[in-house]
Amino acid sequence: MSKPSDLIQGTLDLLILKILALEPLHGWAIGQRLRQVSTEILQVSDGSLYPALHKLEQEGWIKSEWKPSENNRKAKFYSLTRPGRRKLEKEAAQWDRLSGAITQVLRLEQG
Amino acid sequence: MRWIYKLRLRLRSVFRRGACERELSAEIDDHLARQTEQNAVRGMPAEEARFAALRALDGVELRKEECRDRRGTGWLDRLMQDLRYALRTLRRKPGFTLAAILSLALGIGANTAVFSVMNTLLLTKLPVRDPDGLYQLIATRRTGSSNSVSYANFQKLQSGLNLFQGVAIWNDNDWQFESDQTRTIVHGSLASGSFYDVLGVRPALGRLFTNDDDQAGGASVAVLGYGFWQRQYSGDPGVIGKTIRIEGSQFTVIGVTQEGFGGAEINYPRDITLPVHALKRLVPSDMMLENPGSYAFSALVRLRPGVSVAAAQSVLGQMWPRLEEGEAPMAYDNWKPKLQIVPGASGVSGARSEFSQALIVVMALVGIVLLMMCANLASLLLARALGRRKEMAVRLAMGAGRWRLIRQSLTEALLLAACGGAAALALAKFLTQALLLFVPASGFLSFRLDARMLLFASAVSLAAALLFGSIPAFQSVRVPLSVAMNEAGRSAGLGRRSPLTRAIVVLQVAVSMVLVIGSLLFVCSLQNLSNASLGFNRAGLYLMDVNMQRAGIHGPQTVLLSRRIQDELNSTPGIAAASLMRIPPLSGGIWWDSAVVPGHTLATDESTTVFLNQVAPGYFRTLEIPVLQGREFTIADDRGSPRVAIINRSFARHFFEGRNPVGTVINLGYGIAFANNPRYAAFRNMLIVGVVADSKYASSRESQKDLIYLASYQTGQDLANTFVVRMTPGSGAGAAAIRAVANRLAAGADLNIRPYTAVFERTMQTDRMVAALSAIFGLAGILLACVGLYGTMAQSVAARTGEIGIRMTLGAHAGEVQKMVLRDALGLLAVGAMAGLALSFAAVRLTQGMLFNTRPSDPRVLTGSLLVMGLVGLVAAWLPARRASKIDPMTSLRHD
Repeated sequence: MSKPSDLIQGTLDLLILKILALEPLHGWAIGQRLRQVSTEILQVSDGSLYPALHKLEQEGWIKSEWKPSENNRKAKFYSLTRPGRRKLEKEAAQWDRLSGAITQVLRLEQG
Repeated sequence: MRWIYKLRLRLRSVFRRGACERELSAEIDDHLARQTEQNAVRGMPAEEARFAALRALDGVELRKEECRDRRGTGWLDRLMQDLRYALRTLRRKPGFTLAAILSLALGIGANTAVFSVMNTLLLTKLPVRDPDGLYQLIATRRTGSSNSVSYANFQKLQSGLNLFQGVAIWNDNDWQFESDQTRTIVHGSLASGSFYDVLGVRPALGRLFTNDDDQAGGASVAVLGYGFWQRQYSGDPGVIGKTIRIEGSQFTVIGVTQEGFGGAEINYPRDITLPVHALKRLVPSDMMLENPGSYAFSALVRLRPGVSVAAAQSVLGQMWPRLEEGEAPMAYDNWKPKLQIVPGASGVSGARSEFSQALIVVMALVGIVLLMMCANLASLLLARALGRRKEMAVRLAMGAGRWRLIRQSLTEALLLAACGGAAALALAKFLTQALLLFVPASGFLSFRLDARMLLFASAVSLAAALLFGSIPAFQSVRVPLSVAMNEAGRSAGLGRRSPLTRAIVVLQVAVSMVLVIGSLLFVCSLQNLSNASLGFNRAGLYLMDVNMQRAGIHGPQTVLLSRRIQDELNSTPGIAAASLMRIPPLSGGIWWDSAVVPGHTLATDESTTVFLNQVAPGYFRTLEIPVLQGREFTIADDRGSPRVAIINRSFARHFFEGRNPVGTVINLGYGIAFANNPRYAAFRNMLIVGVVADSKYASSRESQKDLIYLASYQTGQDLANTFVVRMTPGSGAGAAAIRAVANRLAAGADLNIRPYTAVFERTMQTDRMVAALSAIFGLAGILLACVGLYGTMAQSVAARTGEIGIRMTLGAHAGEVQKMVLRDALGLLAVGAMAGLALSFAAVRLTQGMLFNTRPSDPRVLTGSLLVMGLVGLVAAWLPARRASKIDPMTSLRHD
């Protein structure tokens, strides 16, 4: 199993951060939300999700807590930290600029 | 802010590994459960739902591993891993671990302890201004070298020569002290007026005395030591001007010395110091200042600025003989006295001179043990490395990095070193205390563990551990896997008889042999000393000092009272005999003169030095020294009768060469030198009335001296004032009987009664210390050698398992195999023992003068050491030999 390329990894991180910005979720729910929101276009495999989550937690962008979930089972809920929030804003802005630039280039007409 | 989260997480993953793992599993399980549920809801059958969830994860363990990877293994993680692994491995081999730690502890701990004691004893400088500017004077006289001078010497040195900025002298003694509140005994000192100035001491309170205070007729001031001031007066500044009584005479306190200064002798702090001339008020009859032969003072000097030590030494070389001999001319032989200047920054110390040689020997012993420890560590680690070769190869094959393996070995070595270091610290503390038991009056010095030595020894052992711990790692990473895995390959040549290991074991055995021989030598020497004939019977003897002054008895009364006490003692049941003497045998006191014997022609360079004592009638009977010719002193030998003397056999042989000494009149040098002085009449025209057997004078090790005894009741002053009493054997009487008599006749006097054996034991203190220590080191050496030998043998047997299996298949018995192993071990042992023996002969030079009547070639020592080493070899090789004989050929050949 090869590791996901840096670009995809970075994007996955950004997506996770964004999802958690809305509300704290446990790992499975994050995966579900990702599929929902991107209407199944973003096929994030379950396998790559958890390593990404652990990496983000290790870096300090998100923190975890074991809380009872909707079915009263305990689950590991992730939430955004303050530095994580700032990172999200920065990365989101970066992404906007990048995608804007790419869109500009792609819009170039021939001639 | 992020770092807080990061740190917390990292610490958690390091220290609560189990919890983290469980959490990870729980998280994955939770995910699987939910996904399975969802799949089931979507219509999959239960099992299918679960498999689908698992497939989605695509390898649970792999994902977990990825999570762990993402968590990041920082250096802390790796270190913790290494440490945990190292701990596990060490615990699995408790024998090896204990042996290694023990070696380290012994090596580092013993070294540190000895260095600490040595350092403090020999090198601590006096807490004065510019201690390096102080010098000691070592005078070589007929009796040997010492740092004692007479008062006349002092006067000449101070004023006669232009060398010294100042000369300080002092004489220590214990006095009776009385203040308003208390009566106690204090440690006192008589010091010259120049004392404080020369040493460079400041007062903490008041002032310190000067030359003006040290004048005949004056000298009524006293200076207190800082410690004494705190203890006795609780630091009360009002002590200045107070009157105190010393030995009944009044003195005024004028000052207190600075904190930390206790006198010129580092481990004997003085409570009260008086000017030298105060002696006349304390003991009017004491002739210490006037008597040119009374070398009662210790001295320290400062050179005049601009005068170098070499210059001073050469001036002294010329002037000193004239000065010395001017006082007591010995025109009867050609011997010249010398005066040497040596550094005196550490002040003067009796303990130092007594123990310095002993401590150097002990240091050598400890150095040897350090060497052994390194050798032991080396062999232990090497042996282990060979055993782990297969393991290393496998790990390499499975993808472990070379550096990772090396780092792990290093971590293990570090862990060992750390544990060993901790054990060493504890051992060092303990050993220091043990050593100090043998150093007298050491309570005043603070014996701190010498940090430098600790660091040095730790560095050495760390280096050794790292070096020998990493060699296996370096070695193993070079060995191809196939070779390492191949059993046959292992036996064939890669380290079966690793010459390095065997060489180390031989070295260990050799060194251990040296230690064993050394300790046997010292123990034998001690025994010889204990049993040495002193020339008299020391069993059942007691000594008694009676201080009559404190009972108000002075002058001629003391003589009469002494006689009465002696008579009374002689008629007390339980007491066989009693007498008096001036110098108790082996007490260290020395009184010498030069003999002038008519009819004896002097050879060039012949010494006429004889040693004196003054004894009362019955002395020889009390000590059970046989009278060979003539008679003992009697009460008839008193002031009115002709002066008599008794000589010992050595004196008779030296000066009379077969003639009969009894009846000859001889003279002593002092008597001739001061022919006109009535005070020295006692040393003129003495009639020899008896010859007694030889006995020891100042030390049990000395070669026999020529002794001459004077009759105590014939001189003007009664100097024979120590009683010697022999108890009737089997009577059960003891000191109490003596005390009863003394108390009855001299009520109020201070008594000091002690058994003679105490005095005798005191002379052997150093020897006892060295013997005990060398025995300990000998034992340590044996243990280390035993462990080393065992390790090598075990490893050798293990490596030769295949070979042994083959031999047994071909018909060798268990007994033959055992013999083979034992032969191997004894071979190593023999080589080592021979080497050790050779080393001992060389090394015995170090102990020159310390050994008494014993040499390495002493049969007791030789047989003892060979026996011990043989036993060591057998014990060490027995277990591996047994194991070898128990090898089942089938399993060994199949063994993989």
